[in-house]
Amino acid sequence: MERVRAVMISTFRIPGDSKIDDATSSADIEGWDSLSHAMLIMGIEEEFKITLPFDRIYQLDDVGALVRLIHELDSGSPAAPSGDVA
Amino acid sequence: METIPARLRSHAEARAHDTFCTFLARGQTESITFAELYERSLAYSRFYTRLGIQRGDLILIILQHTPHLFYSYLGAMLAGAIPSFMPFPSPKQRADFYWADHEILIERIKPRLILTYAANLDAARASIPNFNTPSAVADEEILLEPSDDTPVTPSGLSASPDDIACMQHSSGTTSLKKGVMLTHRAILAEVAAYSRAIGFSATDSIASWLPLYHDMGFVACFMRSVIEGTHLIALDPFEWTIRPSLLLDAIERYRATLCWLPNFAFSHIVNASRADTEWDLSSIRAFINCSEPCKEHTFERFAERFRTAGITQEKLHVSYAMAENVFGVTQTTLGRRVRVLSVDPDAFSAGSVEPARGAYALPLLSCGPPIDGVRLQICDAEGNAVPDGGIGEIHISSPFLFDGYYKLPEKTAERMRGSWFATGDMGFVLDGELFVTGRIDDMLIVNGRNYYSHEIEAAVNGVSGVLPGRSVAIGVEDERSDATVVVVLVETTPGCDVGQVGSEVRKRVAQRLGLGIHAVVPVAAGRLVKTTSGKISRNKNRELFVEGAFSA
Repeated sequence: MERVRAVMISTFRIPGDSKIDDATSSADIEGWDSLSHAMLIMGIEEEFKITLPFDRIYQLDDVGALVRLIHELDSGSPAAPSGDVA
Repeated sequence: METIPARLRSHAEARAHDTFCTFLARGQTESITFAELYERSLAYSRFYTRLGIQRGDLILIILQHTPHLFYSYLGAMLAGAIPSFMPFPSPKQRADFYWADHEILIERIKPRLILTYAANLDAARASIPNFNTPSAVADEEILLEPSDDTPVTPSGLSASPDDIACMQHSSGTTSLKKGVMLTHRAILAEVAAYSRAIGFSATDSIASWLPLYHDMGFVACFMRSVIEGTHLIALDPFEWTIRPSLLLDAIERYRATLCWLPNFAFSHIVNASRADTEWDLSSIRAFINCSEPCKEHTFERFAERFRTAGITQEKLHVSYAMAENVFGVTQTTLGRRVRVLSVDPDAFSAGSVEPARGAYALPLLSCGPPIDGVRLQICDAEGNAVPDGGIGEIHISSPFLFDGYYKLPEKTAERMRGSWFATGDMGFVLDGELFVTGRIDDMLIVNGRNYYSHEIEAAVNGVSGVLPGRSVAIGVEDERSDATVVVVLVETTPGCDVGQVGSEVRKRVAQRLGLGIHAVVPVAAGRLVKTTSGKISRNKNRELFVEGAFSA
């Protein structure tokens, strides 16, 4: 989650102490629109050296879903919720 | 003069095995020949005929971006029907809001058929009380049906050039959409005139990620390829948004020569192209910027990023286009760098064009001269023509102007001045070239799609913590993405949770309009400036926002 959080702070240029948890969605973060979503995906893929499947990218409703998908791709199995780190 | 179905058949006969389209999606490549395009379109034509579709019937096509878009659309033309693409609900848009928004439109235009998927029809039935528009499900089975029980010659092959060929739904997000009626004659004439303007030939090929419900994707790319019989390399718009460099991969691999993009797309491609990756884009004759205000620095960044790929400023071009003129109105001259005027910003704000005198200059990109047959006139508020260099509303006269808005004669009359069409866009003509400066109304163009401020404000109304009727949606330029983004200024109730208000406003607008709001700015009750008639002023509040007057 910390690495996802770092990518989000850099992508959206939001303050370092911004509250980001599993429930955080595009509605909660200024500037998180369809174009910056692409930059987020690119940042995540670079950070974790993975490729997010396109059909899953649009199903991501919140940060928790993104973190679970990363864990899934990283480890090959579904992961537990990541918890609040704000 | 022939028709589009006749042209389709002639390509299928003359060059059956040539590739019409290379369709790229989800890592898969599908190649479609002209013979296959025709045969599969005929299968749809038979399908429609079996459903009782007759000449002149309106068919709404609401499908995801697959080759079935091509077959179902051209099949409708072959059946003599009038097809119209509508956007498929975006992934973040709620189906019930999507259909509720379309209820008024469907009631007004009364399509003879809606072609979509089963799940989307279920959503329509759940959202629209007494939904009774005949509907059909698009699937692979349609292409497999035998052909022996249908007429040998589809009705559309005997259409007149002056029959309505199709309908493009123009700007607006919901019930305000206007169906732009276009004849075969108009479409064929526009494609011929525009092709001449860009020196289009049989060796050209077009790469496009653009959706087909918009004139740039539909006419400039899809129809041109169908009518001219050339190769189209097509990508899925949603996939392109997430992975913009797919377009560069496609251009390099298939040696595409032309590509139309709205301004934001140039920047999105630059922002999302990895610094350590290079492409060979030397096959490109022109990237053509259209449908949004075109910016000089966008071209500069694009040319700089892809200089080593073979892209120079001479390959970056501008067109001014609209569905009511089929597509193209003007086009800059390929091979020559687009003219940029440096105008005085103060004089420009006051409504005149003068060379920049001080340290600050406002760069304006030319949209080029009108294409063959089109005439331009710039008019003042009273409708009088103004001399060259004077800013006013752009009026056009053209041999391929539309046949009016479907079932909206009053809306058609509002825009016609005799044989001239009043575009609603502001601009000026200098040395025979058009420069577009803005819109008369409150339309916002975001990522190539049109939204109206009042629709966004209506979606915001009712959010807890927002004072009723006290919000304003404005378009501002975002330096980082180099795109127009929407900011909503809301007067809030004292003591409300402004974070919660912002979140709720974004959710509402995304669900109802499929639009991402860039920022929600809470302001104290009474801070938004009103016009003399008591309405909240979009222009004035926008100016104040840009000046920083609403910053905390």
